[in-house]
Amino acid sequence: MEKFVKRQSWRSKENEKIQKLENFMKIPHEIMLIIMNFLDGISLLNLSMVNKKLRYHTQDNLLWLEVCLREYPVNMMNIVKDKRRTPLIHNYKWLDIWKEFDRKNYTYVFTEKENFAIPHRWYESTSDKNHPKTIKTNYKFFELFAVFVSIYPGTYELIWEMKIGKIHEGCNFKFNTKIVDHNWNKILKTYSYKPKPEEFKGMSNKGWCNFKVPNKIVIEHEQHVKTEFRRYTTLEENEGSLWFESLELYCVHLQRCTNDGLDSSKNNQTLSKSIKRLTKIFSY
Amino acid sequence: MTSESSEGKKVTLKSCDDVEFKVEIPVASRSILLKNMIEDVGETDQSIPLPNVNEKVLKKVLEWCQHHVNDPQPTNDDDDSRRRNTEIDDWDQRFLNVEQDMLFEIILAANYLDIKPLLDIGCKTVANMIKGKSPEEIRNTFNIVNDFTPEEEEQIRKENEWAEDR
Repeated sequence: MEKFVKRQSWRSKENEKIQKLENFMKIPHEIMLIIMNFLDGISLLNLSMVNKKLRYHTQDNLLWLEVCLREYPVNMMNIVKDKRRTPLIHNYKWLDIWKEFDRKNYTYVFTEKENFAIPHRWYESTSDKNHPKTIKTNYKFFELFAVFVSIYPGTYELIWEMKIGKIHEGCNFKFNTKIVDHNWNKILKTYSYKPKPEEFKGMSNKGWCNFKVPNKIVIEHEQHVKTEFRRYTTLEENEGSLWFESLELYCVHLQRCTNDGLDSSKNNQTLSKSIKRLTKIFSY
Repeated sequence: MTSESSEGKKVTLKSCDDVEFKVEIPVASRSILLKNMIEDVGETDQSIPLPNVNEKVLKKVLEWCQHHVNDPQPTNDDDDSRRRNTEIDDWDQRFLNVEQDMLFEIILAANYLDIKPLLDIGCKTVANMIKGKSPEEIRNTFNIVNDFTPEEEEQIRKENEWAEDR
């Protein structure tokens, strides 16, 4: 009999637990909308990845329209003003539009002249005396651009000055560099490099390191260089890939190779560009 | 019924577990549902049954109504301003510092009884528990089981990142 009683109480505890599990899920959609309206786009994306029910809640089109209006009012004004787009507005999936804005605002320029500004998902930090102004993220997915304007002909290398925390298995990194003509119209060349996991593992928890992208970048005329560092995942490429617990960046250097055959003796120092700081949100 | 004449007068509310609460009319009137009901029915000795709210939750909700009895009634057109303001005052913060179950019960009751300011601060509190958390952290916070298959999860993750070469 005692045994039976014990069992009962165990059961009721289990029931209690199940009840607890379902409590948040009991919230009807109209109340979830009020809750979700207090959240930013990134938090909503994270919420959509929790379970099926929450995914359903977060797909509300009008919710994302409000998020767009709140977070990207200027971009929204441009859509409204754009006569070609207005007839389509009723059919828009605002989540996709938000992603489009989010992506655009993820594009950066590194220059020395502009004012410093960092977008969400990255925050400003101070690492040490030699790295007084860095940017840091704990977010798993990122995409960073740096643009070097009007680069003289020559052969260059890219060096990213970064500090990485603990490394986890689970995805890939990629460095893409594009050579763009001086009118910004045409991509002339694309260099792509996917580092092997070992290359990053050596840098984990080691403080500030320079990562040299092995591609030698050849510029033939005065051109622009747009370089990108990003993390992504694909189903096929998951194996042997990584993500960092934290990533800190100080700058990216575009450094001229000394023996590139072009009169390097003459202007070696002045021509190499070492861009010290990420400075401006760049959008097209 | 004008507000002066309702001063000191009481109405009886009955929770779903048959517990009666004698409440001053201005306090009960924080609930738009009850306010309309009282106005429609007029003075009555009969208790108002609230089939969706139990004793524990009703007591808590009435505590809130008592504290906020002199607040101005919210108007319909300040939806925007209430949304922009994500701050919760100290008393309300302490009031909502309860177990999660209770918090959700309060939210559901505030919705049913139509007490917008209480519904709002409840929702804000939940939003603050979600904000800035990863999916796994949200699951841990609310005891939620991940019911996606690995394939679905990968699919969603892909949707949520940037398309290649954009």
